[in-house]
Amino acid sequence: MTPLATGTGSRQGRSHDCIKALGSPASDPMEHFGRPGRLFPDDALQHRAGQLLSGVLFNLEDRVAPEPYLLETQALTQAYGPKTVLHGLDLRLRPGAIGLLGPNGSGKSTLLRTLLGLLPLAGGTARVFDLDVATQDLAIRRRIGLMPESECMVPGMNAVELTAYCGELVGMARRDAIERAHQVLYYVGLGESRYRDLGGYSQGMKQRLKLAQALVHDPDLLLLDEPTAGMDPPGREAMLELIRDISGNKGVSVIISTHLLPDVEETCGWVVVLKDGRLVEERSVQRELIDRGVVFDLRGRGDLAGLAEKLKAQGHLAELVDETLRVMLQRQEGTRPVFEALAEMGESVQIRHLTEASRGIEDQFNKAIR
Amino acid sequence: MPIYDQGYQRWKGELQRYPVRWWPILRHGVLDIVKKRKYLILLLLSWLGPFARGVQLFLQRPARDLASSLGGNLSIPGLGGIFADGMDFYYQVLQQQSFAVLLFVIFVGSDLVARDRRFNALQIYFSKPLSLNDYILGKLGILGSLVFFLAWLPLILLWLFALSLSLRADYLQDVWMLPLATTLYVLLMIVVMGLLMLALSAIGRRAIFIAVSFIIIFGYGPMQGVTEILKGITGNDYWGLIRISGNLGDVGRWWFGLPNMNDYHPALSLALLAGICALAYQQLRRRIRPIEVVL
Repeated sequence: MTPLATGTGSRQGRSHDCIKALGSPASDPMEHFGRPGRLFPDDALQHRAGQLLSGVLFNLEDRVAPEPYLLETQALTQAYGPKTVLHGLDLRLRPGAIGLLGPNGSGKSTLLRTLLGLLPLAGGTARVFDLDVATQDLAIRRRIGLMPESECMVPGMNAVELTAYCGELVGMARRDAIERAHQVLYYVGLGESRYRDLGGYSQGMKQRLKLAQALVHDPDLLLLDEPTAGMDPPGREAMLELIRDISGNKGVSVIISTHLLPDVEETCGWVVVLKDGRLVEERSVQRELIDRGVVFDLRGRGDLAGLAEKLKAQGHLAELVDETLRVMLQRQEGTRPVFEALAEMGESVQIRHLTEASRGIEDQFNKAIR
Repeated sequence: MPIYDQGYQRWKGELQRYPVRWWPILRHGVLDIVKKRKYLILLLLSWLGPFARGVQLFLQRPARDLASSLGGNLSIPGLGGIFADGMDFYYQVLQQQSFAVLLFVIFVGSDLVARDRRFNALQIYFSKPLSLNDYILGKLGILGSLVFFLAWLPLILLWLFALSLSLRADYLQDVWMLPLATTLYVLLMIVVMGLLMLALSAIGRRAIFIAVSFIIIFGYGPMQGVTEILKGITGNDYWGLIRISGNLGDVGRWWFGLPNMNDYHPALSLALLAGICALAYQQLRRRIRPIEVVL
């Protein structure tokens, strides 16, 4: 993996690759962000917003070579008996953190199983790490770790034995597997309870153990099927933090299949939305938007144009569209600059309505599956 | 003070290039049995029979000397075989050990696949680079190790012991084929009993149901009586073919060079056993799936 200049650049760089894979012009990033609708009608503002939002991302363009595809499917069809579950899926995903979203029965888990080579293809082709799923499934599984959705364990083992056993099944030498099992169990937070009877594990501990057994052989791709299912809020946050760490800093690609939109929003740079076994949306999570700036819509009475000018003078992006003033503010500042400008303008302008224009992935998801 | 990265650490090692993929399943399964005291005691107890046979072999020489000093005609009614040390002696030991084998195959085997299915462990196995055949081979290997320890090893040790006691060329001439016959027969036992038990274990979920099914299908309990009655009524030996254990015994006698006790050739029994193995294997392939699909 090409080293990047900054810690956060790694994830962003991958997102950018994904954008390029879809053929979006790198010179106009908002074409990508604004696929369902642009933020600013004015081209110059739109372009400037893109530069601000993406930060180092687009400046790295010349230095980051596109990585090979993590997985590619062409007209992938999958069926359980007479019931077709995936309908001619065409996907091209580059390494990174990818969210697989969709309502129940949309084919998310089936897609994961297909990528593992556990189901014979009903049609089309699928390649993971440029290996054919139909004929090289064992080689693919050596490089993949699966965290299954349902509760599962090999009976009669404690966490160390189970994790080491999984390592051995992949092909690790026994000594390496045991050493690595201790390491990953500490990493997922089960260090103190690694010799405890698995029957006494809480749901959160079982989830962590499933993650540990998937990580033990240090896969290049981690498939997580509902990783936060059944976890309490602190446990969920801890699990998401682990996923962020694995995918963001250490070059392990992650595919998260979930119906929990915030999980994807918090961990992924790219999202694939399925509905009824069909691809309905494939796009970047507006991480840059989430991390770096917030766009607000303001409506009110009085001199909204003056307010726009004042905000522009302070270095913010603002544009009056019909009766609505759209302004982009830094996340850490919140709405403070707007109220400061209002205070300076006195009674010449009244704000009656202020809402966040972009509500992130939930809007995108709902639009996609509608 | 050094600063350590507390985050995820990549593994610097390398996976084995050509791993024996079923070996971890076998090794873990055997260790799991040995760790349980009840099985360990049972394993040791099952060696009492071969040990007694060893003592018998050891006492044969002075007994023979005594017999020859008394005119060479020592006869103990009902214990005619006590001086035997030919192939029939070893076959008897094998039959004796078959009971212990049966017990272990039932106790251990009935839960081998059923437990993995109950605990959803199959998706763990098959998310690793493991084929269905690797899984079956690993599980079969667990039962195979037990059969090897309970049947093959005692027989070979007894054979070596008998050879060392007799030191006669003509004795070696009589029993030279024992290692080959034993190995073949034990392999047949492993494949037939193992595949049948694994198939039943893949079908059922409760160990008791699986155990009872195995006893009936294998030809013990009521099946034994039914076969004998049918043979008696019709006077036809072919009814014996419906008992898997009977077929196994027929093939064993054939390979040990003992006289055939039926009207039909033991090759017919062997063919039948091969068919049963094929059926059991087909069931295993059908029933063991990494994912349960509910339509």
